[in-house]
Amino acid sequence: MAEAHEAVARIAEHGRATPDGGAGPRDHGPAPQPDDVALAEVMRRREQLGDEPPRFNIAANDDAYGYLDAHTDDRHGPGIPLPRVPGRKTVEGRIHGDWPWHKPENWSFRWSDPSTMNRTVNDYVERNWDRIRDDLALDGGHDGTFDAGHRVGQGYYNDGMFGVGPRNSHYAETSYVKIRIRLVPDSDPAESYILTTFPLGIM
Amino acid sequence: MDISRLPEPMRARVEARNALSSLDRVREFLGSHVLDADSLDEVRADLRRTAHFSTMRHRGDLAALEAVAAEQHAPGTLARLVGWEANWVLDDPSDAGAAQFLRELAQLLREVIDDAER
Repeated sequence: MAEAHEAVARIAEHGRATPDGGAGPRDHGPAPQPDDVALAEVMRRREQLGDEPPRFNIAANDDAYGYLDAHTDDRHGPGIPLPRVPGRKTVEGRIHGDWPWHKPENWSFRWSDPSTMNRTVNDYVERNWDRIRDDLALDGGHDGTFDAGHRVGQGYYNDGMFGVGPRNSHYAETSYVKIRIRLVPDSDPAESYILTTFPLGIM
Repeated sequence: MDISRLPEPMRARVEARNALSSLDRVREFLGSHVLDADSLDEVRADLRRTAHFSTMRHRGDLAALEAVAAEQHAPGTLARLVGWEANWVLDDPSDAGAAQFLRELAQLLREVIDDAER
């Protein structure tokens, strides 16, 4: 933490060190180099994200950031029926590319229930906030895969792997999770949201 | 960006990613941007949003995609990587089809980087 503060202060208050060893105030020193500007932006975003991990409610998150493709509930929400039903959006139907899915997939899972979904996401964010914050500040995104240690969702997989052979679907349950967190472009102060999070059919 | 000036945890993360084999780096890229996407337009939109902040990671990912698409791999490696791990069902699910898909992703990523750095 001290190192981060020090880096911010160094970049914000001084230009790059000059060949003769000077590093005067920005107004009087050399113009900042592109590297300095990029580094200062990274450290500024990191500071803005803060020490305290945010808490997420997936339904509210998807409502607020749907315009940025937030889609957990839409594709993996616990309200999506599991077994394939003609003419309805189902978890199993995604294996086959049934309407309204846009393409077939080899595995398709949903969250078991809203409380498991929100608790699992917030537990992960709280435990890994330092790393998440660094990734968001540096790259604008964080991607994580983890074992929640208990069942988080259920769904189907196609054992005609890679689409070879007739498509089929088999029911399975999982404790593994994928999460993608992103920064809102142009947010100042930096603001994070869940792009998507879903139970993983494979590891 | 001069990564040597980043605080230690950040620098270590960048160095660890840069030390990945091309295949593992592509695996990570697919898991971050392709898995669960409904279309290549959605992949492009996510890449553009993250490129808004930095293209450093994207440039490394592009080099890995180009390398993996050009290299020889054990039979089934690329088909499994794309069809199973990235969960992307191709009309041609063979290794050759998967290599072509990776080349298309490389081109898409190249365009995103060019736009961001213009």
